Amino acid sequence: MIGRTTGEAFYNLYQRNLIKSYTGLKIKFRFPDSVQYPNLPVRLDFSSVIFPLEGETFCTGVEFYLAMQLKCQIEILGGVFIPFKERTLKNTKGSTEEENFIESKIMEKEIFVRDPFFEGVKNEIKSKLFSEI
Amino acid sequence: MKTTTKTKTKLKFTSVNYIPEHVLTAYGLQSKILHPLIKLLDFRGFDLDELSSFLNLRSLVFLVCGVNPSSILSFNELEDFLSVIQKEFYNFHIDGYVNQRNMELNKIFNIFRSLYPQYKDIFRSHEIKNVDCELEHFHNLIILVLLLELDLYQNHYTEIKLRLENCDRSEIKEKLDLIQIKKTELVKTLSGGIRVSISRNRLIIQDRIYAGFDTEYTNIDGLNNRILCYTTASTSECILRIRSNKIDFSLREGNVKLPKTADLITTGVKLIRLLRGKKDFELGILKESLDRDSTIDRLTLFNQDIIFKQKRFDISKIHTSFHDIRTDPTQYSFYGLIDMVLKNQSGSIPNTQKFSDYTRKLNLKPIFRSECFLIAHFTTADVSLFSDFNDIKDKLSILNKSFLTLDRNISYKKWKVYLRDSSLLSPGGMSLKAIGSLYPMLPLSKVELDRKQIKNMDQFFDSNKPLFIDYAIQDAKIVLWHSLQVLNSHYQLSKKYTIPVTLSSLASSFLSSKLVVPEEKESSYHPKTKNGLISVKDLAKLNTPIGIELSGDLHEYIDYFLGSYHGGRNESYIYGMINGRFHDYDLPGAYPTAMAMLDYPD
Repeated sequence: MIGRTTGEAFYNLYQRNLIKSYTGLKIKFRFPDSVQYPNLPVRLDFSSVIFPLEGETFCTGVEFYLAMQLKCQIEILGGVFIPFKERTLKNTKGSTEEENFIESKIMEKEIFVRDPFFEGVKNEIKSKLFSEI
Repeated sequence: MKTTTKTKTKLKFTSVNYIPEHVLTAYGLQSKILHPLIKLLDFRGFDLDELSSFLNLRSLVFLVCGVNPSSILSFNELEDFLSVIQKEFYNFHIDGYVNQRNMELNKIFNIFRSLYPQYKDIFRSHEIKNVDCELEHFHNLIILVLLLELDLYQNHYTEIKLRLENCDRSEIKEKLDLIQIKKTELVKTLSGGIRVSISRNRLIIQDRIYAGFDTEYTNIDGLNNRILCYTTASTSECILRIRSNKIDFSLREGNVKLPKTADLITTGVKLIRLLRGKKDFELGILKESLDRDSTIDRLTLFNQDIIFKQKRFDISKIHTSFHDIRTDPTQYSFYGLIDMVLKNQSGSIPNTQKFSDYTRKLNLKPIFRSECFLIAHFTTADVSLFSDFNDIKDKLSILNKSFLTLDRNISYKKWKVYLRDSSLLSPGGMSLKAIGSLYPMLPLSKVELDRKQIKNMDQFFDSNKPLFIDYAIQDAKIVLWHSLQVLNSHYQLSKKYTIPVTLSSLASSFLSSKLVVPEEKESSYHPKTKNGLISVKDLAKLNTPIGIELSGDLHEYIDYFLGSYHGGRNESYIYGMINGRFHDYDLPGAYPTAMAMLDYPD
């Protein structure tokens, strides 16, 4: 659990590890006026989500990471940080860690995408994943 | 020419394997500790380590009431022994709660401490779940020891009864009846999983018939249809299933903790099964001999059950039939269809005889089951045309506008009938033509008809009967073949050997099998919270006073994750009418790609 803290302190603590974690945060934020496309979503009503320069919202670790890259001023009101289990991945083409991570995951998925029937099963699994969220 | 013959010992317990004296000494088991009757048993398939620990426990239980475990007790002594143990045994079920002091002073619970000195404080644990599980299973263990004694004596007296004259039998019979009553009482106090393990027959021979069916009809007046014919395509197989000997230690849903006494309970159950003639060792021999048979495939299911079946289905052995029912549409009924399929397959179920021979050789008595899977494409049309539709409709369920059987099957004669819809077994409810094209190497392409022929089926029937028959049969064949492929895929993906209801259920079980964390094999698709009472998935239960209090820290975590979910981002940089060229950027499969990057939480 994360208590009330500044965005910078939290960012300095975890940095790129935020990408490889399950993080949920409640934050107050303000982007510099120079930012053309802010990335933090704020729910306006039952059907609308906007991306304002300033506001209060819930966001994930990856969104927080990108907002910090955009020099956003953030105050964390509370949250949760659960890192991924460390797993060693085989680096085949000298690619970066993230690229390699995606590549290996896609390879894992490709194992059962061999014939048209399994292609269908894969799509069902995808839609099943969405419905489970 | 010399011939040698082996003589068999003519005893109640045939093929006796005495444990040699030096082995007993090596395992710290003096022969006097062994009950004379236990010594008569055939312990093939038993591990001496497990046997010695169980017999050690048995001796300890006997010592509590001061009875020598090596002597044969008389009936009265046995009754005394049972009553002493039941009186001495601290039964928390009767109190309804656990009194720590009473339990620690209890002689029988002291046995647990002697057996597991390293866990002597386990009942003082603050984790209620641990205490609950250990207490319940230690109780089960002691009951198993008592049951074993009763079974031993029952066998002993049955043996004596056989030797006696008629006049003396009534007294023995009375005693045997009393033992049986005691046994029934004791079995009732066992946990469900263990009770089932003691008594169940692990060998099942299943005859299975898979049948695709299809109807052709013509529209009369824009509202009503008239049925012309129905076709079936069927195949069958025989499956020999050997149920796993794994004991289900779960006390309630979601509780899969293994107790410390698991090994002893397993041995106890094995011994009781041995006494009751369940022939577990012979099942091992059966497995080995079937493994050697090159015509048979062995599959291991998700619950460790093993099934033996024919290698693969042969498309050339599919039996097809065509029934012209223009003159009498009432011939097309649900039960009539089953009868027709059974008639087509009668006597041709492969391997039934072979499996029966295998079991007969080992003198095993399997349970026989018969299952029939009926499959059609878009069952709404085919099922509603049954002449007995009004009678069977209550037995069917509706899912995505299709008639099928969900939780319960339909019993007909000795058969359990399952109804499936192949449109639910194809990605996105594909048409039959598209399904046929999934198998380009096989002769399953749908016979092409022009619009006029489809519209006037009866005219087409009259004008070109051979082509009409080909067209009608091919549909049933495609349905059947596709369902058999789904059956195989269901095994490959989720280790279940049955035709699933929908492709989503197949996908769901595949997903759940993949989401098991390798290090924690017991965890499931619905990860539990720390204390295992509330599931993450059951939000309705979580957001209640009980859920918040029982879910550990979960209720605090879950809000942040739920709040962070906003859905996909769509951005339009210009509003209104656009003249000229514009670009639409889409990231196909963005969610699955991002989700593929996720890993197990630490």
